[in-house]
Amino acid sequence: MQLKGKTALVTGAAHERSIGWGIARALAEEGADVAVNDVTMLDRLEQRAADLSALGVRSLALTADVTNAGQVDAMVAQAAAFFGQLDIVVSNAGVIRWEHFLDITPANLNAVVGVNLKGTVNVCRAAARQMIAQGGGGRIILNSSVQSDVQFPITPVYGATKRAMHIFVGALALELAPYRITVNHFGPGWVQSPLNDPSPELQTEQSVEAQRQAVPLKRAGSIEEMGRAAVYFASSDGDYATGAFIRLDGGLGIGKYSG
Amino acid sequence: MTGKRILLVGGLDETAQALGEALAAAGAPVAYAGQPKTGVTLPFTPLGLDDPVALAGQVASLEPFDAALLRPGWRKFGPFLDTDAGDWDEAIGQNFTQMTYTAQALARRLIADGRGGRLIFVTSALALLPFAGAIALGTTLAALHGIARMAAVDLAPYGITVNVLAPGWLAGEWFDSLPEPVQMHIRAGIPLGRPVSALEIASVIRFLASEAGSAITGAILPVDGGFTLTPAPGHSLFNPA
Repeated sequence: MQLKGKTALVTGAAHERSIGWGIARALAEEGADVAVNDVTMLDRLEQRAADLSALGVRSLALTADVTNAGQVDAMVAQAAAFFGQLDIVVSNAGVIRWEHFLDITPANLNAVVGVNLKGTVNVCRAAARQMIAQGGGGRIILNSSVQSDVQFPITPVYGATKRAMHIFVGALALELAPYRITVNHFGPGWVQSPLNDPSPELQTEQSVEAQRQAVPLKRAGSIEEMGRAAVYFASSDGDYATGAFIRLDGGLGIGKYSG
Repeated sequence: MTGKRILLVGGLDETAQALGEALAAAGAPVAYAGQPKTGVTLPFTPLGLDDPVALAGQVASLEPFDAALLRPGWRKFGPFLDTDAGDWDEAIGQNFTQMTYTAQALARRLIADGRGGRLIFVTSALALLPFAGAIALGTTLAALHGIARMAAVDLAPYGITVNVLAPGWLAGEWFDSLPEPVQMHIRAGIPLGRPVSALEIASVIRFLASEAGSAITGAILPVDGGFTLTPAPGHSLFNPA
């Protein structure tokens, strides 16, 4: 129970196969009280909060669109008021679109940049202000991607927003260090989450097998494994980590011809 | 002379103009296209950078070019906690979104002309190392680096190379206007001990635009006197420790 007495908020956590849920559950299994957020699938979101309560922690379902700074500020304030404080914020919500560079459309670009860049900024700003006001430090954790290290041409805008996280997280870690707030990110590779369901690379048994073969460890990652990275950064084990990145991809991002 | 027709595209400010002049001095004269900032006068072809549809038409009717320099125009500093959603919209809009659409339009034009070509983004060393006080600038330009690298993959079959030049501190009036202790602080963080000149930036662009640069694509090249090699001393851009 590494997180007993701590409170957390995780964005993008409604779906039972989502990495957000893997994170929320992992934090709760370590004793943290957890608020889960999403913008759609609200029945599912309520169910996730109930699942968390069944683990014996306090929980809360919070609807907000992370692209809307006002909604994010209100959500963070509500979580802090409900729990009495907010120690851990995980910016997990993200979207992806598959298209090559020459085919990037404004609709897709705006969707991806809106959630992955602006949404992350909104969540981090609200989290930082709340934690500074509390005065006891805090943990900000981002779910980025293997694409923070290596971008893929079929998702250029997604990859760009994730590549940018190295600079964003680093600069934020520097600026928030005086407040004893750490900022870190971890980068999943292939996880069989709803985010990846429409991937053109995962539509047939053959293409899923090809994907498996491209991963040196020959399997997808689990949402539980992603959740453990969040626990590391959130717990005392991660006290000295800030501006850090953990790539969690079974080796996918190591290099070429690795499969 | 490279003999290449080079286009400098983007928000045209004093630094873009200085770069254009340095390129001319380096034997690689440029034509300008985009949106000049107030007070900047140079001959240019107007491009509506924030309107992808209009932009595509305007780029299609430009004079032919061999290489295009894309220079994102949002260059502001400030602490994260004071950077509101509107500032981020502006930074992302100018440095990422506009430059992505502009690169796409320029690439389509080069493909239509069928002779290959070069796209060169001119960003900043601040997109390669995180700094307090430069989070919006660094983050948005780092995102653009991601686009540049994947554009390099997608445009390779058309003989178009895509590269990034990331200048460090630039010598000139602005640098000279900084207080002496700040200049000393910045110099101490540059292994070569000095800011780089516009001519040094121009020389690398000239090389990338020339035949000599034909096998380089997807590269992100710091031209910074070694600034990005060493995080020390201090992570603050302007505050001497």
